[in-house]
Amino acid sequence: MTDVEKLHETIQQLSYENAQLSRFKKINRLILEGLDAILCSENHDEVFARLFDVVSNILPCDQILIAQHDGNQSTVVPVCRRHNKGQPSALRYSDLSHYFEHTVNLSNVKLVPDWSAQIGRWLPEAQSVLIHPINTAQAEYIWLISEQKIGAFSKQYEEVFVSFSAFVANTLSQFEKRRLITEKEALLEERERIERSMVHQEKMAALGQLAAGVAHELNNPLGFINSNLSSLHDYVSRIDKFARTASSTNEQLNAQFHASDMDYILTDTVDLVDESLDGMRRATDIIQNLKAFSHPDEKTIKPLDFLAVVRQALTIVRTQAKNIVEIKFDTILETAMISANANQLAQVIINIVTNAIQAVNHGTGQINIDVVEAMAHIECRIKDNGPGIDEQVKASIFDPFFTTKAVGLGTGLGLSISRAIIEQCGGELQLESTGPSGSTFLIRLPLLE
Amino acid sequence: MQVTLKRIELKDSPQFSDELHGSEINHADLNIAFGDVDAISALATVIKDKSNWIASSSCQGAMSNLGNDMGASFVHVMSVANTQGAIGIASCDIGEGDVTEQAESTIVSAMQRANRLGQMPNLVWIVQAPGQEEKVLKGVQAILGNSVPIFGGSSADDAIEGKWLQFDGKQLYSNGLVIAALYTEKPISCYFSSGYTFTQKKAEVTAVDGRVLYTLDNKPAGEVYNQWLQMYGEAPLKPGSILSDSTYFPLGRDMGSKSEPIPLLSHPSKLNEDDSLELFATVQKGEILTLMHGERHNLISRAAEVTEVVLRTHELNYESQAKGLLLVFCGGCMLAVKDQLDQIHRSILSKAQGLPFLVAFTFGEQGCFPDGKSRHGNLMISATVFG
Repeated sequence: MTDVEKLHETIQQLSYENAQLSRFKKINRLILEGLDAILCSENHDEVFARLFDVVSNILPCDQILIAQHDGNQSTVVPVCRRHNKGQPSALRYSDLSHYFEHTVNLSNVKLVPDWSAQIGRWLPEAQSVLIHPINTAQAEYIWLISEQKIGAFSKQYEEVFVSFSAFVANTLSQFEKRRLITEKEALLEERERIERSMVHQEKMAALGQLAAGVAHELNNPLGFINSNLSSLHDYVSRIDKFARTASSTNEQLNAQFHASDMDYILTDTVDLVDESLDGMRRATDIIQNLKAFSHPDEKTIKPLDFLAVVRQALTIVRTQAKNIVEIKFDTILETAMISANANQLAQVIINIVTNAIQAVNHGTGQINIDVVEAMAHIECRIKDNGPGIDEQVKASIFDPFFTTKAVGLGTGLGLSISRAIIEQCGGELQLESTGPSGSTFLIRLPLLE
Repeated sequence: MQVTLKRIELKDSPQFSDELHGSEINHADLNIAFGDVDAISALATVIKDKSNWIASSSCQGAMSNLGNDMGASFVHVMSVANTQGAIGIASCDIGEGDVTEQAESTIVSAMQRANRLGQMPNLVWIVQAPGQEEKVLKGVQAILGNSVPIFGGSSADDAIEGKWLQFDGKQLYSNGLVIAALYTEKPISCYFSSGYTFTQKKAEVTAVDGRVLYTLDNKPAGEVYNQWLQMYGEAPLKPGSILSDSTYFPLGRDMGSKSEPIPLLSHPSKLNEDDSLELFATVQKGEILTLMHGERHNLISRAAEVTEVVLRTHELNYESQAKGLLLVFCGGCMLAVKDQLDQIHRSILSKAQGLPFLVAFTFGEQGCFPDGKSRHGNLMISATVFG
């Protein structure tokens, strides 16, 4: 009997200790499931809805409500509720701050003065209410959980709930801080990008003005040099003809002709003038390009079928691409009406495709042109299977006068003029991707309604 | 939270008064006091119009870490200060009227005085005259629900002569109820236990009036009880007080489950001439009463074991050092092992490890089992830890 009594007492003691320590089991479950709920949620409303499920599974209660303190309005208003009972109207915070700043375990709300006129409006059926503040990094919330019977929430229940609430507040604060840091970093990055872009735009604008000025100033001297050279070319032919005829009819003149090596001089003079005229034409081309870069012709912009322009441009470049590269043009669209200058737009296509032809290996090169419609725009992708563009080069390919070609073989204005033309039409031109398997340029232009 | 203890002897009146007006007692949020009837009576003559007292007479004095009274009159005062919360005390005379309603209004007054009307206290500490404890608990639970922890004890005198007293700092009662509602920042842990083992002898209550048990299984209750005692080798009891003879064979009701039985004990105090039994707790018609049995050496060791359990659990639960310990020990049990009180005192001292503690010997104990509901029982022991 003695041992049985002692054993019985020991069992009672263990039951007591087990009941007391069961709080930790509940807290552990709440924290595990609560963390899961927070991690799975996109926003505070979703977090709260999931937390309501977690709480009501482990800590039985009739209703759960979360209210938020609006410091500017000095009000507190329900922001999330598990049940749609009661009025979610705003209450004046200062009248109720003694309920919202600490844990308050109301075991009998009927004894609380003005309950039904205040918090009772939110929870009209409640007899017991447990109130606890949750202050996160960005907001002040208040949990309210209720039951329809008196004294529903024991001290142990309260302690478990308070522990869990502290965990929720800390975890939400951490997430809010992390999100703030991420947003701040993104904003800083965006600001830097905009600043870089503004510097670039200013540089381009200055360059455009400079180019326009240079083109204008050089245009006249180049005009009369060209005119004079053309005249000189004509004069030299006539001088050559006269000198040869005269020397052939007079021995003394013939002797002087040969002594002065006039045969070489006259031949070389013609060549010199021809070369000068050739250089003149190149200089004129550059001036025209500079003018196009600084002032794409706006007046000739009109509605046109982008697909027709692409096809027309490809007929030109295909002669250049013959036996070197295969060019495929693919689209499911029948037409793609946009507003642009047909010649300039064709020039853009030709520029990009020509660059692609030069980039790919002869014989195995392939260029795919694909046009699709996306969000009221046409998107034209010109993709090659070349070696890609170096990182350093990539940053400058749209800069005027930037070229990777040998001196004299390229002006470095092709892509910059192309971008200016596309932007003039309200679109954008960008290098969408580049890598060892090739590069893709994207032309994006608004479709006409 | 700070808990201090004073043990003040009655024989030196000026010193008795001076010590009761010492700063620790004066500035305490709550003074819990126990002593014999003379000591509590004297306390009420010295303390006037204070609102921080809850005192009760204890059977043949009380016990604390400062000593065991052993027949001399002392008042033991446990002073709880710096609770960083609120404590409200209210009282009433329960001699007339509906006791349940009186208990309801008294707990509401206590909450009002703590300025926490409607709020769940950490603890309701209660002292009252014996006789109507179930009605008092019912009243408190009507206001606060069943999950509020209600602990305390029924006042006692030295020889069950009805001389017990209750005191609230203002008024001395002989049939009173004093309730303290404690709202503290620091945690409070409580444990309510009985020893004893269920025997195979059980019967249904078939006729009862309050605490007078007339029949068990339709047979005279005294006759059934005596038959049970004889089966365990005890002599049959004669009409008259049977309090000390029934200490090791009380009647029990199972408040637990089949796998974890929890006995709530009723102590038979008197065998009447009509073969009815008077109890120190109320039982209801239809309830099953089982003959319980306990051993003397377990009664002696129980207080120290309970002390160890509650302190260990408190520290595990709250990672907080306990500041004070309050034990309520059944007066009937104390009388049965009175010759071993020194040993009990030493064993509690050993487990309390320097902590101030106070032990009251009562004629009824209130507390809550692991199911959370507070009940009244006899031959029980409760432990309350502050801090």
